[in-house]
Amino acid sequence: MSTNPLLKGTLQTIILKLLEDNEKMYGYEITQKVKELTVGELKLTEGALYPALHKLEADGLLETFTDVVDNRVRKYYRLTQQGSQEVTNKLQEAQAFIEHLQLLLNLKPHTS
Amino acid sequence: MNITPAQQDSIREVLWHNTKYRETFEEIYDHIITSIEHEPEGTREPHEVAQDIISNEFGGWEKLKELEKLRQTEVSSHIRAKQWQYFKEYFKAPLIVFTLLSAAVVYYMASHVTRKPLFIIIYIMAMAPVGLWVKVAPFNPFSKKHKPSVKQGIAQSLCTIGMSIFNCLVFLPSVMMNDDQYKFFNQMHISVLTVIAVLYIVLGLSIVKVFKEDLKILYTA
Repeated sequence: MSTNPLLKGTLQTIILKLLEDNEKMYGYEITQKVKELTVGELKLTEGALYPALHKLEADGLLETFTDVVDNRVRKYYRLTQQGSQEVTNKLQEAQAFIEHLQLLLNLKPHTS
Repeated sequence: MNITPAQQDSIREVLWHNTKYRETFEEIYDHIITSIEHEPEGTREPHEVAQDIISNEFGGWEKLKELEKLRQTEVSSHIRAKQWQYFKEYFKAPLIVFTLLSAAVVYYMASHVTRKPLFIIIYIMAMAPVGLWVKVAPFNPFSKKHKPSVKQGIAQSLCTIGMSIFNCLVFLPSVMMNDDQYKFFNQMHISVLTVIAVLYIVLGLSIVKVFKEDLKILYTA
């Protein structure tokens, strides 16, 4: 398992996409979902996750609400209307970036 | 892994003393307890898991303080930007009509009737946000049982700005200059007082809008 530094640049996109697919999530759930989807290959540290969540919230892309679970407050994040629109843009940006990386690093699989 | 109430209290106490804001405390406390609950039984003690999360996942207590500071700065910038935006809206169409009408009414009353309304308007608009703040600040700042939220701290500074300016205009000059004859509302030109009164009205309304639109969490806290 690695805390890949390449994750840093795409962290916001990952969070937005996860919230688009899951409607509402809390911090721990996001870290576990990333672990699950990457079969434990990538690990999101809490020190990186929470500042990214708070930034997205401050930018108006996410909103929060709380629920009481087992006598403790749980904070959920969900997309705002602006956030829902931004997911598409962020995914297109990521897609374009990956394509450029493939060209630059010659990573495209050879088809014969 | 099962976690006993006593173990939860112990983790809670350590976290309580090391966090400044309620949001941070609640979010990280839930994160740690949930992590412990998902930990396989019999591997580590709950306090070891908690310490590991703080040290390795969050980067230690100092990093946690940085995270709180960063959050406070971001929320503060966002709220202040919103308040400034609402303030400026009163100088653009269509709200400029309200601003100009207010200015005309205030000027007419002050110049043809009495200056008292100016004092009342400025005083009310300086103090009303403080009342708004008191309404949404249920915690006792001296109590150890409550932690302020980030937004409560920002709300406090927003709501007291009008009162601070009022004190600077009305009381501070006479104290600083040791001048007993200084009477702000009697000596200042009516047009200047009108501008100040209108600015106070707009400031107060923009703060009310911030409370309604951007500080909603305070009402549910």
